[in-house]
Amino acid sequence: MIYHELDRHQLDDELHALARGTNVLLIAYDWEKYGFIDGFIRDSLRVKGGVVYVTDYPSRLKITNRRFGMIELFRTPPMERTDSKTASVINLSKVSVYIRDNLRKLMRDQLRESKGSEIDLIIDNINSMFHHDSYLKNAVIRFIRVHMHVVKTLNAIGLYIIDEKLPDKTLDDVIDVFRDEVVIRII
Amino acid sequence: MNRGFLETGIPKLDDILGGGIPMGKSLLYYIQPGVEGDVFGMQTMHYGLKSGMKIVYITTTSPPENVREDMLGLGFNFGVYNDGFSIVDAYSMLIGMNSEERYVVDDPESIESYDRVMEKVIEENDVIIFGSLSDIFDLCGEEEALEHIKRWTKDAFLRDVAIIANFTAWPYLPVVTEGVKDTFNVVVIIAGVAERVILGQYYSVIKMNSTKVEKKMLLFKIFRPGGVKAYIPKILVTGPYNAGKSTFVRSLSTRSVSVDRLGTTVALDHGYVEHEGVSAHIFGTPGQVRFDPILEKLGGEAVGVFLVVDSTDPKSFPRAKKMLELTRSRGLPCVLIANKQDLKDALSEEKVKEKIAFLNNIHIAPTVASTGKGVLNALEILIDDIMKL
Repeated sequence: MIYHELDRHQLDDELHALARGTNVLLIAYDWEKYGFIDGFIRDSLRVKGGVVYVTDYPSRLKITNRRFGMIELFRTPPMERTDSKTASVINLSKVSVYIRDNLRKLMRDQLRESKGSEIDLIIDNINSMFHHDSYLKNAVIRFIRVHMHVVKTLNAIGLYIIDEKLPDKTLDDVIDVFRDEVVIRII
Repeated sequence: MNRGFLETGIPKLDDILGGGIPMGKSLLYYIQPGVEGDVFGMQTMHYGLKSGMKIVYITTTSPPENVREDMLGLGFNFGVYNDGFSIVDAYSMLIGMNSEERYVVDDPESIESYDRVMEKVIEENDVIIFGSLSDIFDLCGEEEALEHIKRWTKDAFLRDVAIIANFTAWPYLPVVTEGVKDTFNVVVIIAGVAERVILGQYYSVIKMNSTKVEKKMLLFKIFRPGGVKAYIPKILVTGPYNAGKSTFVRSLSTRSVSVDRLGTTVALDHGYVEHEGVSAHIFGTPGQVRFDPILEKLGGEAVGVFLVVDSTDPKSFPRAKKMLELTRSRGLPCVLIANKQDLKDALSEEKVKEKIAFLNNIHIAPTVASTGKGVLNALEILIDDIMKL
């Protein structure tokens, strides 16, 4: 496992230097997450890449670009329907289908336009999926494993954000999934 | 209504299963993560409701109103089957909401809680659909869930109740995945055709009547409305000049477009057809010799061929054979279209077959493309050949 402890500014440099096909677990608590994610997505789109963003808190991001796909996770059903895809945070099958749909669309567009084929997958955040007891923890870990494999196959970058406030054992189990990948703790 | 069987409503699947799932038996839709397979269970539910059965749908990760919305989006109007359709709500209590459904699982993270509901559900319904069996495994624990599903399928068998389940095949331990497959009488795998990312989706029966089998993969697409349709990405229509290929494509297609000049195809014809749960894209080639250099490209990736000949012009038949070679279509499922059967000099189906004997064992279909006569019959023959069961 490649492990770093970085501040917010070092993080940008580190992510830009990553080899394609890498999965990164970002561990942090109480940081400027949305500023970072917004910047990361805009940088990717600027170089003609595509981004699939899975989030449980989307309202702060206002990005309109057809190379950007957003999937909103909800704990309780939303009162109003939005344009983006929505799925219950425990319906990981549906979340997977939506991720696949977005990736397929990005791949097709990139093939059609003969543009770069760089795709990023951001899952923000893993904590929201750990909503229930330990059995569901295994389900989330299986979900992460499946998508780490997808990231490798696509030669993409996968960013998985997790808040440090998870119980130790759960956090350790998630870190263990990334033992052949990159783990960054934001300090 | 056939009470002996539950039709799955999935194109060609009922043919493979000999009419559907016998009551009391169980069917598992075993779905690769990322592939939209939950529609299969819903489509089977819709067909059961249409045939007058009492059906219950178990939702674990979506609110009941989302299930109803999803069904309506697929064009399955459950509202007309009010008495026959009910939901087991195993979601609302998970997020602390009340439920007004007929059956409610009080604690969706406890298999005993499911157990209390299932007894009544099996007693009061003809068919039980698990919207996502894997979610029950995740919420209640794999071993406990597997043990209970085995018992429920046995109880259902004793009461002639059919069980249908969607199961997302996450990377569980093999003892779990194999255990689930062993529990069901029929297993249909639903997976992706991938080139880095999943580009197409298919289904295939891997277990039938409790015996392992390997049936042909059938590509599918999901339509809203429309549900699951078997999908043929490319059928080629080729044949000599003036055989009636463009007319055939137009006549066959739900919608079509032709690139032509003064009525002669100079690039290609394209059509799209939906027929009896199967959708297909049709590509027609030009017939003139000067277009021969592009025929190989036009024929690429076709999975079936209509070879169209003018039944009044036997002199053109050797050219038909040549075109089959130029499009590299020899060996693909092929139907010979003996077109223009309405003209007085038209050779009969048998005579055409006799004169075109150089194409061994080829299906032949007499047609009048200008009126559409025989065209759908030809399509059915080709589809059956492509999807040979």
